[in-house]
Amino acid sequence: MDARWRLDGDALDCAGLRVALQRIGLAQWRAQGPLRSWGLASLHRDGDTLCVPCGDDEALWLGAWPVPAGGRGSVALREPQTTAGVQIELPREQAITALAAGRPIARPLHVLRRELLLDLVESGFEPVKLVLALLAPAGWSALSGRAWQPLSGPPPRPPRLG
Amino acid sequence: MSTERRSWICTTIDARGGVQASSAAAFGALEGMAERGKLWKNGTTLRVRFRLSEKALQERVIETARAWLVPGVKLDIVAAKPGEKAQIRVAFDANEGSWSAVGTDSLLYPPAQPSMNLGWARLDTPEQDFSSVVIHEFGHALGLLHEHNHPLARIRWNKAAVDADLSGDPNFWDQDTIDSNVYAAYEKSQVITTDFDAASVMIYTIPAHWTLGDQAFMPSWKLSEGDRKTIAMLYG
Repeated sequence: MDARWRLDGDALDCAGLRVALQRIGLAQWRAQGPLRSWGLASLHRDGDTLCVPCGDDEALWLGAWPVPAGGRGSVALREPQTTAGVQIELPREQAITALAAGRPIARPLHVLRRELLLDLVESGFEPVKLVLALLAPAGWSALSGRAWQPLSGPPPRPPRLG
Repeated sequence: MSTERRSWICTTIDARGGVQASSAAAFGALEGMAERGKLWKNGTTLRVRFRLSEKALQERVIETARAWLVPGVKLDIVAAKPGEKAQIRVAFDANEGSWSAVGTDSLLYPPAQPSMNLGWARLDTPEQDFSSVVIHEFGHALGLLHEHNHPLARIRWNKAAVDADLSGDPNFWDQDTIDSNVYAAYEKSQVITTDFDAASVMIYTIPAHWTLGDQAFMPSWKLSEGDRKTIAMLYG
């Protein structure tokens, strides 16, 4: 098992990079629309596979950022069947906007299989490669022993600031 | 409690000489200053001038701001009389949100310019909403910082969610603004602190999905016990 990454709650901790999967209602998700997080997706590690549940009515997007701030790196997500992929460069970019949903709709990364390849690169270090497996909620619960909570609705409108 | 109140949080303005920073490294040249240098001298009467507003609204602001004058605090907050110099100048520009200079940074602004804006405070604003924003901004004017930047807050941010929320409607903040207002972490040696106060009127509303640990914070609409202790320590 690759010791270079671990789970810290429902975030992936890989040296100077943090990755979290964000939930959003499928009906509210737009490929070019503004992103909102309706909450963190639960994560479970199974060997070198990162397992995440995804309900039929939700989409996920991937958020990543360097810790501490100021670090650099990249995150790449690839569809193994088509080799299509999306790569973001941190800290300038920090979101891959859609990973999966319960039924096929157009999205930046067309997901044909429920196992994706995730490459994490902190500047100056060897890439960490793992599998991101998108599981049906029941299967994920059976594997992780944790309950899965369906989305209850969108979060409150973001605070209006100065 | 209205849900709208939750959104009444502000940006602080870091004027020349300020110490707010998004990384500890930025403090290197500021050692020994911090916010200590932004506190008013004990015994100061802070005079407040208002721009273009009804007398009743001005009186309501002053009455609300005086909540900070808990027993032992050696300050006063009054409306400036015509011709008097005012350390704090308050505007009510609805398009400018709510913000304030921190402590004596107010003096760095040209006298004709506001040092504080209460963009959402009106005469018909409900009491809790009004109090939360006025007390918060006057807390900054007295030198207080955002409580979520407290060295002991140790909030584990879900930065992707925070940035997604704050970069879009209704705020459209750029990354620098998000970094300085949300993630700024003060070195303990640089600021005067009491214990971290999760109920402080000076904390942002932080929904659970903004943190990795499911932490959520909801500020008080009036002084918390911790706020009272802090202001008494600073000005007692």
